[in-house]
Amino acid sequence: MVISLSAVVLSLSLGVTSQSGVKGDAPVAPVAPVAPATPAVPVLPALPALPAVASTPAPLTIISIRPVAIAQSYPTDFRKEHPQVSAGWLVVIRADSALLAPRALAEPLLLASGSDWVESVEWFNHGFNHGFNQGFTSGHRVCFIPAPAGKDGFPSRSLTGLRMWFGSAQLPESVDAAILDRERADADVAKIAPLTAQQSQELTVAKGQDPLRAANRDELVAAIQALIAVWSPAEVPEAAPAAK
Amino acid sequence: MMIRSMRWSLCAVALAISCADKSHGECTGDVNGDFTVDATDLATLLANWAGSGEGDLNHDGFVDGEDLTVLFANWGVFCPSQPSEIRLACVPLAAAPYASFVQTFIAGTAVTIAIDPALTPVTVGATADFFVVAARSAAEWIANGTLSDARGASQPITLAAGGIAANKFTVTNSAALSGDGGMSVGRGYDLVVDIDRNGQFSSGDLIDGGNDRAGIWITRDPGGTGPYAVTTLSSYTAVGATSGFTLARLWYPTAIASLGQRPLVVIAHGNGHQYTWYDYLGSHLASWGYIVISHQNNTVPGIETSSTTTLQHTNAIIAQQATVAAGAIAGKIDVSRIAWIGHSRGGEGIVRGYDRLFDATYTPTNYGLSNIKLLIPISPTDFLGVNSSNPHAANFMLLWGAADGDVSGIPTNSVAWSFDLAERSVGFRNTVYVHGADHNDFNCCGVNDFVGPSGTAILNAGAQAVAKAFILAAMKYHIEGEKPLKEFMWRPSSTLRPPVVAATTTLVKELVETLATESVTIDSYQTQTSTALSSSGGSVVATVANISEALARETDGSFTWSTGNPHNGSTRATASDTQRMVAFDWNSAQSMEWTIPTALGDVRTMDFIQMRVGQGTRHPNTVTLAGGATFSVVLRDAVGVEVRVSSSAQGEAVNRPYQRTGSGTGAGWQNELRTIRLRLRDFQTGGTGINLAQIVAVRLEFGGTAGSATGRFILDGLQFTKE
Repeated sequence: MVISLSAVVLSLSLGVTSQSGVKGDAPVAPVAPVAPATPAVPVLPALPALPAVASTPAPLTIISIRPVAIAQSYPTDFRKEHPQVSAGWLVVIRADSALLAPRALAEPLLLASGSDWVESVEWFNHGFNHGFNQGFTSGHRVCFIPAPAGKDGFPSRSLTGLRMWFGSAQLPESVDAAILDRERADADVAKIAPLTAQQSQELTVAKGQDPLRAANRDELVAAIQALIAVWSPAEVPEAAPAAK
Repeated sequence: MMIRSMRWSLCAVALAISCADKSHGECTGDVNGDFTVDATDLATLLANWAGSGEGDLNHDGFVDGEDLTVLFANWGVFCPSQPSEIRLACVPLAAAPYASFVQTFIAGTAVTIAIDPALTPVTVGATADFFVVAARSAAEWIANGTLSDARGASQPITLAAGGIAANKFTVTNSAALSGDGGMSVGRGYDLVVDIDRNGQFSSGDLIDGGNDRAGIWITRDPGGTGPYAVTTLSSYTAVGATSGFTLARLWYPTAIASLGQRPLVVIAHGNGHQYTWYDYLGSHLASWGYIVISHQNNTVPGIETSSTTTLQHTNAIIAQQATVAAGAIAGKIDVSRIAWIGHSRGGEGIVRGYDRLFDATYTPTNYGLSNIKLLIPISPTDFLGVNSSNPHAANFMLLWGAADGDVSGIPTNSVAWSFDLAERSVGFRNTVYVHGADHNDFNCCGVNDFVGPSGTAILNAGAQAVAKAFILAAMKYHIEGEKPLKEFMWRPSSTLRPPVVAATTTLVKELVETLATESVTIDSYQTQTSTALSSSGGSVVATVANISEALARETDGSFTWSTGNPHNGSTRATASDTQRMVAFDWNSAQSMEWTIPTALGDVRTMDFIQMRVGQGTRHPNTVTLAGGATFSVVLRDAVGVEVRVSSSAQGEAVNRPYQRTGSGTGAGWQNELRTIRLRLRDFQTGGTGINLAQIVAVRLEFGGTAGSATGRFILDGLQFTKE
């Protein structure tokens, strides 16, 4: 089983309960989201070396899933066609640092699929607002799976058979439907396993996480920043010069 | 009447700027350039009778009766009856041509002047007074010929026998000359040899800087802090930028209220980087008078989104200047002078942004294509290729570290080939390739991705010193017209190094100018693809080995030369690009000779012969050489006068490639090209008599007595250029 149930941690709003006790799944130290202006200068942790590039397709661990409805849609930059996004799932994942490390060259695509859909996932821990890229050492990434909206404003797609994985290294803005189909086929070959229905339920609202109704992308961004502050707090402060 | 006569004479000097030392055409009838029309000239003319070349005084291609008439009409004339505009300031050399004539000196360093009696109207044994005068324009010299030495007193010099080697003079107290030019990095001075010692610039005197070019430019350290205190606005919100990427940091001179409108500099970070990571650069540029912003950059999706945020933020700061920083910069942004600096994906993003303006697929409200005066990508990616990431004719500077572990130049992935972007530039471009610098050395806080030989890392401080110095030099050159700073773009560090840059740091510099008005290109390798024919249409005769003209592109990912992959090691072109070069090697005395088409052979208005050249990485000859490579350049005129100058005349050899390993076997990373410029004046030293009006061939000589015994070169852009 690629996605280990024992590694799952449920996120209940900003309060987190660990079911597994696996070290590293719990937030390092919850901190309040930082206001987006004139931040204080932090102390920089020791700088890691850039990890070697990991091979893909590669699995990951889903930590939490939160449905989102967005009243004012926006065009996603993670698809070549730039479709309008009005719903989706806010997701926290855990993965190898080699997969999460920011690079100038192409990084592994972050992908998600259900039983009848596949999507390019947006992610945010790369220099996003006050994000600080050494945070990849936390092993966590906050991301968003775009989806069409149903009548209630929330994703009309089903989470049945949900799986997420790292695909080939490409620019997300170059991803089109054909690439998505190829990546899904590669994931099949690599036997990237889906969540069970029970796992999906445990990771989403059924376990207490409230669905989010965002007026627009700015409110989605605010929710994302809050999650980054919890799961990868080193990415929150502004960087200060430090000797290598 | 006396005054009028003097002014006419000075006018002649001002108009004839810098020509007197290029040929003996200034002294009509003076065939051998000794400033006297006499029997020696007649003998030379007669020796070439019915031929061409020397003695062809009317430049009609024939030595005949018409030339004889010209000579007799000027019989007995002694030319030094007028002041002469020559080059005096130089870097002294131990061997021929004994002096490298330059303009720019770091404040506090020694200045030398050199006089070649064979080319200059002076009398050996005579004593003259040497003056360093605050720079005057040509008009000012005409209006005021009084000599006033900036050092407080002039300096007597006595001209000696023994040619230029015996007539090099250290300028006394030159280290005390001020380089304080206010907002300018340097300050100009003109140099005058007052032959008649009358305290006036007058007939018979020599001047370096009698035109609008200063004789010397004493410059402060461009890597040092500028004259202005800096105010930083930690962040502001740009209206209209992509959601989540609206923040930017602002730096400006604290005294902005007392300044006029100032150029705008926009910094775009790379992927995983932060807009807050470029304080060193923002504050540096602001201290020299620029308004600088660094903005959040949407780099994760890719280059298009990155370019969008740069385009948006540039528009926003112009629109919001009245309100940000409590209105401190209101009305102070000179929208007609904008520079974009981008790092990594942000580096490609600014090129993409320019391309979108060029293609008119993006139309900002507050500025346009013509307002972008300079692009400076630092370690840029090349995701999008020639059709989308193309700087076109924009002024362009590439800064890149050889120890980059991310945009590395790795031979298997052309996304990591920053040189691609530079090669696509068809305007003025320069490149500074920095040994020992990694990707994130150019910001404060990125991960350590250094890959290179142990002990070669220059770390953030070393790389940022280079960035500050050379970015400022490019800014001042392109945006504010401080032309003497151009010498930073091609002179070797051994003769011109910003003091903030460590002497041990290897900088590999390219300067490429393609404007027809500024250059005469002999071989660009872009047309006439036979190795026996130059792009200018002349024949090429080569005795060097393994010669190949082809796309400057690595083909098998090994960085290793083979007969089937002769351009391995070159990372200058994707499969869709067109940049071609020549590669060849030698193990003995061998050469390449270009015939210059007649229409291109008059190079009297040119100042240099130049080329880009680099060692072929990992080639057996390069490995054997294990150091810098030298060769010689030979010019030949129509009557067969040949003059040879070493490629090292400016002070440095063609450097050994950075000894980084990986991607195949052996040591040596991608091919590095540097610009070699040899002043045409150097080919006349000692009165060689070569006729720059009729150059018929250029020959590069290798091995033997010409230079390094063995080597492998990649070469491009053989051309004559103006200063």
